[in-house]
Amino acid sequence: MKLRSLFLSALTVGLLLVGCSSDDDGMPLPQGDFDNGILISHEGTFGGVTGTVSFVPEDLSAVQNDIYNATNGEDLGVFQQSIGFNGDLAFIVVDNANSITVVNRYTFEKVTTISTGLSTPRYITFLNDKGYVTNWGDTASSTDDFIAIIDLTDYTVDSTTIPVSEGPERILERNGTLYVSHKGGFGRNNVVTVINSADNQTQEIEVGDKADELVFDTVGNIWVLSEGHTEYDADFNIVDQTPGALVKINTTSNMKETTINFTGTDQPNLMTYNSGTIYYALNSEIYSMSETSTTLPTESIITGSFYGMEVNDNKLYAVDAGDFASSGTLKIFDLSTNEETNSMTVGIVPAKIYFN
Amino acid sequence: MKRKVDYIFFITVLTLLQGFSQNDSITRLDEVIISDIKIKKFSEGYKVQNLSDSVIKRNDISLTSLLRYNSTIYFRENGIGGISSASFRGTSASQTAVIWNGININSQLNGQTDFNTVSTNNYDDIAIRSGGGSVQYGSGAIGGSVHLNNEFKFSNHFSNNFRISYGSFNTSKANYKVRYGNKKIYTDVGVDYINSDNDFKYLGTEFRNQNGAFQNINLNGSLGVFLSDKNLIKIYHNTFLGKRNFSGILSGTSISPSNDSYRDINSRSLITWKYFDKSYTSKLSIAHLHEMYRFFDNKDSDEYDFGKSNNLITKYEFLYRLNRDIQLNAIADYSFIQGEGTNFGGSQDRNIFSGVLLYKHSLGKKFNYGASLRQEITNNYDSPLLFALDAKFTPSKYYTVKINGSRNYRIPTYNDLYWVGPGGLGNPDLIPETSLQGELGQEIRFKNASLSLTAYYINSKDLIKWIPVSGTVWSPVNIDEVESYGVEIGLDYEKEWKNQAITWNNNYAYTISEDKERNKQLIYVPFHKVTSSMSYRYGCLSAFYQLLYNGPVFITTDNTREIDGYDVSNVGLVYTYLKTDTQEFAVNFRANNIYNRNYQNVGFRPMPNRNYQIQLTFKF
Repeated sequence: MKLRSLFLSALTVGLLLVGCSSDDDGMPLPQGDFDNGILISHEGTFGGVTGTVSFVPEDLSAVQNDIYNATNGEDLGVFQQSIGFNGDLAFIVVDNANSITVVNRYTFEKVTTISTGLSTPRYITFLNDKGYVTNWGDTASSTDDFIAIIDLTDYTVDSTTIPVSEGPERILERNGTLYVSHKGGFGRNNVVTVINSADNQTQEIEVGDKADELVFDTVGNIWVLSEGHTEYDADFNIVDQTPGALVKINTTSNMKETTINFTGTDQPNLMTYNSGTIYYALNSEIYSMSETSTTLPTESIITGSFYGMEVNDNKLYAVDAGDFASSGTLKIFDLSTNEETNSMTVGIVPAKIYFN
Repeated sequence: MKRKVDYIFFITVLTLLQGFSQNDSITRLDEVIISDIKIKKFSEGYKVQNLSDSVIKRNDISLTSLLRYNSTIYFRENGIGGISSASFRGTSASQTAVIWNGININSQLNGQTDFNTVSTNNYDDIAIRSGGGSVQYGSGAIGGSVHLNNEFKFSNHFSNNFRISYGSFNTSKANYKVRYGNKKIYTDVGVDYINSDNDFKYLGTEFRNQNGAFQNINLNGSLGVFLSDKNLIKIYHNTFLGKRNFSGILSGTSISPSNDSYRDINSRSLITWKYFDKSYTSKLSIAHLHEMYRFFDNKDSDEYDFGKSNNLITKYEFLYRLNRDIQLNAIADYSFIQGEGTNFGGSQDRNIFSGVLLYKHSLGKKFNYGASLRQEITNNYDSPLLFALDAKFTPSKYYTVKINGSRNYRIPTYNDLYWVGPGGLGNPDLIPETSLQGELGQEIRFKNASLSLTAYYINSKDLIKWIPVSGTVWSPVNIDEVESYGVEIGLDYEKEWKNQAITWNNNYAYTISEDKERNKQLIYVPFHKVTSSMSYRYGCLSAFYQLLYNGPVFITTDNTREIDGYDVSNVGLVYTYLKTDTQEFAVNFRANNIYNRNYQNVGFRPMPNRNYQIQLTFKF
């Protein structure tokens, strides 16, 4: 058994190396219909619409909706939470279906569906020949949340899991260390868990309430955006409200290095990062700030309310889910002018944007 | 005091046929049989469909199943045994009122009645009143109302009715009802039980319905006593105890497993005191409605979310007969509601006082009209003045025209007003949804057949809709305006000769229900629905065939995605061995979804494949 997995991992590494070397010579050819473009992950609805993936080619000429069903003749389920990429493969995480569907990221042909060992899976990252998946577990329980470990050689989930505190969300890896933000699921949490992948030992770093997006900056430190928390009593009086926070974690010392607190009732979300700039949304405005800044910007760059956003090549891509029951919109803004340059109709409840 | 049983039955049958009887002088006798008299007296210009005892008995015992196959009402059912809500004439689930012996029993928490919690075995008379009825029946009677009535028979009798059945998916049902009556007293007690594994196969997949088991008990009792010739006391009670696991869904190629369990109790008690005089009737009613649910996210755990409400209703009605042709009914109604729940913080009270005036005038035998008003006063929101006008014209015994117009409302629910929980936030500033609507109906009767054609228009505004107010928080607002209109056609045929009989009942509904902002059909409202059932009796053997066609429904508000339409057919065979007038034994065999259609009526939730049921009935 061990020999077999060693062989398979050797084979995988070998294949990856082959992949790299062929990339080196000359112009890369499109590796499938969905190479060179944007993938948009849609959550779907509880009212009967499955999660889907749309493809928008780089030239923005057309939108192809539901490319998974078009390729494989089946549906992904709800709610489609995120997509993780590893080599030529895309891992589509569907939380309510407790599944991860593995496809070729360029052709979208299905490789397999992992449907055991996951419980409300949210996000995935990769290290060596393993995939690490955040799981909420039973959403009513605050004590059964865990990180599942997938063996990428045979797509099985290890019986050993890493228990973590309530509501693990995003997960990133650097130098053998995993960083997990805790949004708190349907409850409340305010930490980032740091996991040593060698022995699966964990330690928690307290950040702000509802820690969500994680990004690496230029030097490889991690920024985490906490959205802040609001609690009401029966008469709709706010009994507890915390503003959001941006926290930088030094990935060498695994200590907090910078904390920038939002003030008052400001609760930001949708942070993303590109070439030294952090972008986030707050009160239907989008703000940008330099990673070296220690204060928050006061002027927004774009106005609009969105459900997902990413930046690439000096363009900001944002999706609007509308009423969460009809086709959403992808909007593209040129960051040199902050003007909207394109708007196109996509699938039902667009949430995440990936550059393929 | 003529309480002649035969005569009473004669009247009951007549009133079932609708529209003939203007026998106001025999109010008293009529009343002895059916409690919710207003539905006939003050609804002459409305379409009212009565489901006869034989139709009720032929169908499955859930009210969903009865109405799905025998009316134009469309149901969204989260699988068999799951929550089931009605959409009547393209309106929302909380715009169909369910009236139990004259009392509106829609939930205070979510505004709806779960049609899978109502067992048809408990009722002697089930009627569907189409169109606006808020003046008489209160909140939610916009699409229409469904009336569940218990009959009191003041004649010497003692009868027992016992039914037991077993069928596919390990489904067992049992029902027992005992009735006793004499000239002064009537009483009945009934119990109804259903238990099912509900683990049917999802056609075309390797899966079965997971975590779908349910067990329901209904307890029923009535007592009526004539204290004197002029004083009648009636007591009604019904308790529903449900223990249902809510099944997982078919999500993509796998099933999203569920470990949920839902336990609910709905308990209703009503006592009325009626005083009859020559020119007036006075009626005092006190009702107590209790609802409670516990939702277990994990059925093996002791942790649950709950919601409950208690509603104490005091109602006084005074019916005055000015002369043979004019009747006036005044109603004062006071409801005190107390609700609490995991997501309402503390306990929330509601006081609603309403005053209603109903007027009816007959101009000869061929024409009558009615006018009515309702004003409500409550501490929670401003309520509009409601009105209704209706008229009925019967130029010949073959033809009737009915017309009505009304303004109706649906009050905000506890969830709408007080919800404080993850992802949602109620809005205490909501106002009631209101509608303005009208309807024109015609009925043509032949010797063995009747045809009804009804067209209606409903404009509802300030509809309460939950919208995202921030990325993660949803809140309700009075925002939507919806226009619903359509046509309903009913065709019935009945013929009896020698020892044979045939009946054929058909309904067709064409429904447009559009969101005014988008000009798009609402989600989960089919354009077309057809029901057809035919039964044939030869001696003691009878057979029936039942068909439902439900057109496709949109599942996105921009009408880009839909669930396919479907047709489902059921057949049954009944052998009745009639020993004497009071003793009977019957065997009933039923096969559902005989063509094994793979269909969903709510997305991700496949409905059962072909299934069977055998039932034995004993009357003694």
